[in-house]
Amino acid sequence: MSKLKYFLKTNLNTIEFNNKVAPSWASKVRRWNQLDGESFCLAEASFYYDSEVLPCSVVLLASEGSLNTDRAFQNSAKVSPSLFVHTLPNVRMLSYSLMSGFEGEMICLNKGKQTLGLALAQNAYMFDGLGLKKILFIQVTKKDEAFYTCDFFELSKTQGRDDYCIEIDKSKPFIEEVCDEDNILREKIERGEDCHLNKSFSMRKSL
Amino acid sequence: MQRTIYIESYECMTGVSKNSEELWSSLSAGRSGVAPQSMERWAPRSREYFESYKSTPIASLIKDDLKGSALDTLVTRLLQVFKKACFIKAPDCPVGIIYSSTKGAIEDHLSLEGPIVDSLDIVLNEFLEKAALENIVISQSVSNACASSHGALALGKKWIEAGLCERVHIISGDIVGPFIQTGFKSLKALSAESCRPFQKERDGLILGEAICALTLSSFKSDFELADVVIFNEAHAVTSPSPEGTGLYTCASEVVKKGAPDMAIAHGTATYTNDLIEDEVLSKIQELVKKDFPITAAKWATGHTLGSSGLVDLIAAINCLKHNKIFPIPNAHDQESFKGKNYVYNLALDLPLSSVLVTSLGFGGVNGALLVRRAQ
Repeated sequence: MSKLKYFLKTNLNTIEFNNKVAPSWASKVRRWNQLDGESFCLAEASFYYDSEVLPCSVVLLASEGSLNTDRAFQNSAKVSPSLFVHTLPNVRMLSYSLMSGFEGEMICLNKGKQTLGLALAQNAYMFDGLGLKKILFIQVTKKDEAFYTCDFFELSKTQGRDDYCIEIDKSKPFIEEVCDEDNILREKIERGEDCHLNKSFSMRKSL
Repeated sequence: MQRTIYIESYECMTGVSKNSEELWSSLSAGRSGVAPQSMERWAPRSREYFESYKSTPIASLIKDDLKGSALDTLVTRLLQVFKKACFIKAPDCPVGIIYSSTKGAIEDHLSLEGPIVDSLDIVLNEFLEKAALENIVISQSVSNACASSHGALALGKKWIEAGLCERVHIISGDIVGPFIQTGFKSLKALSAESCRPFQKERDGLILGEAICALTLSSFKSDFELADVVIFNEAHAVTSPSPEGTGLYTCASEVVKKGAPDMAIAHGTATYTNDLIEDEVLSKIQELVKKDFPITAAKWATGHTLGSSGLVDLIAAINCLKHNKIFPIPNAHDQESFKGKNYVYNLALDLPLSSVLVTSLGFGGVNGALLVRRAQ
């Protein structure tokens, strides 16, 4: 069967980066006040993220690497080791793990403005052979000085309410041509619109 | 879908070698590439930081004296190594490419005025433009800290198993510049003198540069990637869990494909890394009921960050080719560790069929792979 159908649950969040006050999850992260914006806001979003079942695998999306923190480290008055440890984007994965209890396969991917789109496309293409029940995609992006977007996307074969439906035709070869850049994808998902993921894929709101 | 994943070609450039054969001869001869690093072109802040400790940075740097931007340097080196790797001619097939790195061209983007960019993606795109490769259907950067190589190999293996492509080029490289040196110095992770893996008197890691190009494919070759597993544990940012649970999970999974004849450990020579990795390797020796010899390469090459696992994999393939295990040289203390058969001072001649290669990194990343002669 070459035509396959999967479902994508989406959960978009805009989180305020306020580390002046102990957050609700402070007991789970000893040095919460030393987290950079991405790690802090992902911890906040993860604390409230309600997922019935933990994923089998996580894909962490770092479309900007950790450039905000890299610059903060480079330009801070005093050299700060607690900032330096956040200059690896995969480190923010700990925020999700400590809140959810997830331990397992995690890969941190970068592809500039197409990081989310390409990650969804390649994993949907591979999904039937991977033997996994659910892949979780996490993307954290700085919006401005005070706010970060922290988004969760769950890919599985189980349809849930308000999910997107991704249909792929595996008789066609995979071509890396992501059509909607990540910011466009996010805007469309926010509005509940169909997305233009890839020439071989459709990503539509399930009926 | 299970498919045999072959290692079709490999090549590297390190601080101690221009190519993979020279890497082997340096490892065998106990030759290290570690030397003082000039701070001549460093920004004052980083220079003053080292000077405040009355300290000179040391590293195993690639000795090609390139003076351009970080992007130009990385892409020039990647192209050089990639072109030297010898690809078996095969029918036209879909090809993927993965760039493994921790910071890419970061030194070019640290000014507060510049646009927000992905310092890895820029390198990969520039490489692709200049390399003009055919049939590329997917390209991607991976940044799993010091286990990026294992992450890239795991992803490449998945791509081939899924039929997304038949061949995957994995390229890797970082630049050891003031950003990374200052950062590791602030963590007090650096040794002032030398990298002494699995020795009682070890006192930290030494950074190193390496550029690797390795191709996985479904086309039969002499060596195969029997398995590769990556695993994130939820413990702490800069140290693994005391039992090394994450690394044990990876390593115990890959050795299901067969007990290794030897291991090349991550062996950064920080107190914690070697303590935990030793704990895990000793448990793996118990698990497979075999005290396979253990060695490490970072005393020669330094810690090559995004290239670390690939350098060790290429060293492993050379061990298989020569049926010989390179030693950890100048080692005195052989009694403090749980693992058996660390290869100290003298190379070991041994018939070899398979090698375990392990990696750990910040953020709780772990990776293990098993490479073996093709069956």
